[in-house]
Amino acid sequence: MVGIWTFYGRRNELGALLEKLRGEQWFFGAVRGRRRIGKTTLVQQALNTLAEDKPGRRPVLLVQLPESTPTDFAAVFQNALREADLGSHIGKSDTLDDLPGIANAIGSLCAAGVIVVLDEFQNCLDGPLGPFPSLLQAHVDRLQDRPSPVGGLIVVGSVQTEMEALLEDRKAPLFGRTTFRMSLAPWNIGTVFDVCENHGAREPMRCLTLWTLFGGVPKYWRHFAETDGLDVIPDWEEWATELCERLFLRHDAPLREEGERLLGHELRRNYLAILRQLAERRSCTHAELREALPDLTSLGPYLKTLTQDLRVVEKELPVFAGESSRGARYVVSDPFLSAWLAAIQPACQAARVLPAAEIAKRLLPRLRTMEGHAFERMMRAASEEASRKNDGDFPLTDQVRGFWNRTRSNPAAIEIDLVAWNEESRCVRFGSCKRTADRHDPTSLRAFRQHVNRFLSTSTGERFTGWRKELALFSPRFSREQRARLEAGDWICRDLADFRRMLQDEARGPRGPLAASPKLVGEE
Amino acid sequence: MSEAAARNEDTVPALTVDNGNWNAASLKSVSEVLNSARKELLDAFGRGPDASVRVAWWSQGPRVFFDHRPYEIRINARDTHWCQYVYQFSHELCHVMTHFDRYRQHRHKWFEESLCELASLFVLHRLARSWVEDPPDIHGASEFAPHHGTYAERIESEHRLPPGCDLAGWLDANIEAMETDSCRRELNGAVAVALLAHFRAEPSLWGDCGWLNHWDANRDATFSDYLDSWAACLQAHGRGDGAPAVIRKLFLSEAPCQRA
Repeated sequence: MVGIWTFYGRRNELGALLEKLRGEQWFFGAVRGRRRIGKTTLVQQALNTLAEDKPGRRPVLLVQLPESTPTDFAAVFQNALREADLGSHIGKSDTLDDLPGIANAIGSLCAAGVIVVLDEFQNCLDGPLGPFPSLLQAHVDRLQDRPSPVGGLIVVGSVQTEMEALLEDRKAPLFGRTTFRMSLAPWNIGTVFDVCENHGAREPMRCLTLWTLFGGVPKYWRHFAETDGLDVIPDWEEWATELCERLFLRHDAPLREEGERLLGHELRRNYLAILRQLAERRSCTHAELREALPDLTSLGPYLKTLTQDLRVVEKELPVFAGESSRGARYVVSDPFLSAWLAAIQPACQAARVLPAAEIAKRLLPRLRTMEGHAFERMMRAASEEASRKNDGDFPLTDQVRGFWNRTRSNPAAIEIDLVAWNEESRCVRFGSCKRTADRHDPTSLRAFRQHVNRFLSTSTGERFTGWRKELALFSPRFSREQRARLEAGDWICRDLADFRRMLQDEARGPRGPLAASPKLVGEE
Repeated sequence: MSEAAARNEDTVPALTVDNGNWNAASLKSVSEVLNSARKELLDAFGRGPDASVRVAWWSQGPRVFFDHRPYEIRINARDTHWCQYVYQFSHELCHVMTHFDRYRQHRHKWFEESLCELASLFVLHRLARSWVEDPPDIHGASEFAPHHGTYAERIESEHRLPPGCDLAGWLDANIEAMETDSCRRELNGAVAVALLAHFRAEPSLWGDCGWLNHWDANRDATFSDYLDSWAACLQAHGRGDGAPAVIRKLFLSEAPCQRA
């Protein structure tokens, strides 16, 4: 039985937003984050919750800025105003057919205590709606000087760089005006476990598959949750095939065009070429990218945007300084993009000419490989999260971040999936991650131990001399027998069920339900 | 609600919930949950507090502040973890109901702390039933009701003394630690669990607890003296010595404890 979709995760952000909305003072807030991350849902949930506190006393106008002309924007605005029945707050002489008229109307509404939410605000960075922020500025300045109580304005936008240009650029009309800013990151692992639990994916392998494909992007999980009948498929292979087919490959699959849309919306031209190289090779140095993309004369600005602005790529530094490969490497850190570029997109193309079911089956080996890499990332993230919540079995103060620059081709190879430590208790945990528990076999355990010993003999590992050392094995699921056998050899075994328990907030007790989350207006 | 409490319902000082980061919970839901807990405890005490109560969220441990009127309670429960709200709030409200800031420091404060732990468990059990019969206006309240009982039982299982344990002997072994530090949660919890069945069976015992801190307990050299003073205080106010007698029988008699 699969649960009803509700509002998942983001409790702290929701609480912080509600705290602002409940106040009587003027606010001008900005909520941003990548496409599909749940910005509008967060605002909507906050407004629904607020309505419980103050029924009818805090009217709201939600307008989605179109990517078109002022006339179209005016039409959208008028419709929204009519739907919300807020026309009485606008002066009779006010015209609502151009940008100054809309800005005036927003000023009047806010002054009358209305909360105005402008979604897709990045659309007014330039182009036909470009003058709108300047027009809004005058009203924002007037409202912040007005005595309470007044309403508030929230702008919501997805393109990081464009939202920054609109609100944080010193020359921007709205610079320095926001009273709060909120940046939404993907869901944490604890939330992913909650969703898996409620939507028929409690089985650890399924949870891993879904995390590999969607990361922590809520909208994709919702598409999964709304796909009927997957939970009754007993076999993983059959389930994964059906999942890929129905979510990505069939002509009516909800995520069939998502990757293209995401890339086309957030990125321009050359970024895609860079991302594709990174996804195909798993990671690249600057030099390797230059070699692969000779037509791009200057890679630096693109990489900066991808790492610092869009945060879909991570720059990893080598673990060992002073070794031969000293340059930084770049990896696609966004799971959806990574899966899309490496496997889903080619499969979608193939599905145009071949049966989707056949393509889905062929996708499985690549999916397994991706899951192996994703599982390492998942375990590192889950270890940090459990430690942050103070509920983990290993309170870590830091962990090795970066790439192992003494890889298998080197006779003194060192590659360890997880190295985390606690400075205060002087304890270091080494971890080995395997997608299936039976791959923690004697050969692999011996190799793991050798890598740890080699690491401890390096100048980087020397700092852990005299510390307590733990050797931990991670897999999505350990059977009772596997666990007993490995623990008898002094290995610590941790699987997804262990992390689920650690992240469950047991001391706080069960969580009461929230009302089911309705689909948003304008959602496709 | 008892007759006296019902009579006073309209005049009971209000409970307000401050704005703050309560995560996904609306102020209305928080208020509904806290009011349902308050109703159960006030019903048992048979009266309301002597001033209104404000509740706010903070990240530190739950606390009620000395000398604040309205009483100011801060808890760190949030989101829709309703059991935790009830647990924390009932404990602090019990301090209010037992006049915690009249006499602030004496060696028998551990008993007040234990009673407040008991209040949390008591209210949780009551809500497990009342949220089914008369649910508060929050989403899914009646389905959630059994969790209150389970939550209380989980806490009880952590603090329950071994079967057949000699409570007098246990108190003898632990009273010094509690007199030194009144907030020894594991010990307060054990006292609370030992008392729970008696208070559930006879909720009017709470009425007697409403007379705590009406005398200067610094003058009571021993816990036995403290119970004597409490009984005397109750008699002076025209009440029987119900609660002190029950507690004396449980914790100060030589016989092995009666497990209810």
